[in-house]
Amino acid sequence: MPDPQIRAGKLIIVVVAIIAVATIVIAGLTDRENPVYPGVMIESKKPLWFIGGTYCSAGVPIITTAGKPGLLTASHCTDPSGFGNQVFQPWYDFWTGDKNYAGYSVDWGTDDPYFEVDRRKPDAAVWIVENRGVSNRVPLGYCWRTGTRDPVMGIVSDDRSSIELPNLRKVGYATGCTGTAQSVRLLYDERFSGRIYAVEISKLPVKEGDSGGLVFSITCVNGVCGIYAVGIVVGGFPKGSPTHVAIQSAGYALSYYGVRAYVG
Amino acid sequence: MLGRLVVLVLLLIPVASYAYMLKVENLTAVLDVAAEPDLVTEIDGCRVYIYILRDLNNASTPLFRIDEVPVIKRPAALPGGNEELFDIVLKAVGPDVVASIVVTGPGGEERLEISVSARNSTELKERIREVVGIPVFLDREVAEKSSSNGRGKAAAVVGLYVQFRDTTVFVNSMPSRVPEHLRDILPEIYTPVEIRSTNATRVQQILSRLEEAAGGRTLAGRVVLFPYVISEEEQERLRNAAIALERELGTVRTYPDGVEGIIHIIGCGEGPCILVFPYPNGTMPDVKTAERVVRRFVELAGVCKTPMVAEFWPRTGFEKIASKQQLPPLEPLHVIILPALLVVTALIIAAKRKRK
Repeated sequence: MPDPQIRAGKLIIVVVAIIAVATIVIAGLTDRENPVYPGVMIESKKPLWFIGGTYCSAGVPIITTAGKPGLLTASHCTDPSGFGNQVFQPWYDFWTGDKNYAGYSVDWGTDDPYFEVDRRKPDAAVWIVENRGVSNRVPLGYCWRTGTRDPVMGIVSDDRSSIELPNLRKVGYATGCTGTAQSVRLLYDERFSGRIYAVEISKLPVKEGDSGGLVFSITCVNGVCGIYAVGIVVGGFPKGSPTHVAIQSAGYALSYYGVRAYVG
Repeated sequence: MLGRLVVLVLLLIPVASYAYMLKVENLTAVLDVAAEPDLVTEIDGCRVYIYILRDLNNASTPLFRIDEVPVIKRPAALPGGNEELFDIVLKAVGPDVVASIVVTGPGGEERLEISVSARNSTELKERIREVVGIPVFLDREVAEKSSSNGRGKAAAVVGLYVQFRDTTVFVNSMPSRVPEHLRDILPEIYTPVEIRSTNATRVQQILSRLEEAAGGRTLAGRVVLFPYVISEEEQERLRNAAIALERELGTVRTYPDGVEGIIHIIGCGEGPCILVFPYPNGTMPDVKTAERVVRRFVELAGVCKTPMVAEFWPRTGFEKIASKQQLPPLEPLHVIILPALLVVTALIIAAKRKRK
């Protein structure tokens, strides 16, 4: 092989190596984590092992009645059965011994809260975590408070059509922690199944991949101050360039699945 | 109603901000901070404000101004502790209240709501103790310490609420343990008293009674005034009207990741109710067309309360924000990177040997 071809071959090696490095993501929300925690990336809803699934974020930490820990995510991020029921964290990896398998979902929810006939169904599913530990600590280091990981202390009540909350934030793998220190009003949108609230996207920026991510407020409830789960990100409206973020209420989803928040 | 609101406002003179405040906001005032409506019309005695948006950038309709509702603030004080907080509230709005209790003990934590009649914090603890049969404290940390080390269960009163016909007063007990990194923002995140009401006169009375019970001090808290309540049954009628009108307009389009052209019904439980319509026929409606659509909606729903907001947006709908593709696509890369490196390396080695 003449010298130019050797040089071309070396160039190819360099380019391929750069691509390989570029695919190695920054430590944190898109890394293989143990324990997993709110905001980490997951892949589920894979039709088959070699076909890409749906990439979402982990939301509210929960405990089942049987004592199994897990995290709430969006129902449209996973399937109730089949290969798509399996959850991989951060994504399915053919080359790792366990393929990054991290559990399965209990999905009694709806993938389509607008067209859903059964209005009780939320766009929420429970990821029962296996092969990993579960932490209920929210990485506030991604927010404005560097260095702290605070536990979820409870759930914000959702018995009103408008909820005012201080310090509304969200954590999802696509945009990390976003939100505002200002007081924000969430408004209930009647048109969707489950219980969905809307908030202006400028107050809580989201992007593709943040579905399922934890929405929380830093507030004081019943004598305890800290992080209170509001819900999970499920989408935006209108379609195309959303002006508002759609949030499935945590209280509603947990009650629907008969699980409790993993608090304290 | 307006006159009474003015009196309420005059009672709350904005001054330089202090750490704790009494904040009053009237959600109807969102109409004052939003853009001018394209039309204000009366439908069956109900006033509807109609907005027609050309585009969604820099929109300033009520739905985009809901967080800009003016908040009237007055410097206020925190009570000395939960005992004083409950004494003040029970004197002002008691004695019949619903107490929120947390029971701590070996089996974990349990939450209860108990209706009691009490004139002060001492009676409150006693009445609750008679119901639960265990020691009752006003401080959660004290209750937890009491129940620790196998000493059995203990209860802490963590909140109260009082329900009037058109007003609810919520009391949130003072936190005993505040993480150090949250102490500087405590005035922003802790609200001792919240009053939600459709009746400004009753709110004024309650605030006066609270101030009297607090010895002339203004208690920190928040007041939210809203114009009306729409019942569950009425909300169901609004929803059915939206479904029917969407069919008539033919605006709904389905996509794999969402839907376009739907009618949103937002924040209607406590008002003002905000309806978001798509453009009928896909083009920006004139005022007459918009009014016709809104009248048809009200006719179908049989529900309309003053004020109602109707916004026409160039696009409505919903989209899911899961990601379908990781950038770069990882599974194929994993499959090809290593073999590609091996092949190219082998070629280079072979070429070098050949040269030798």
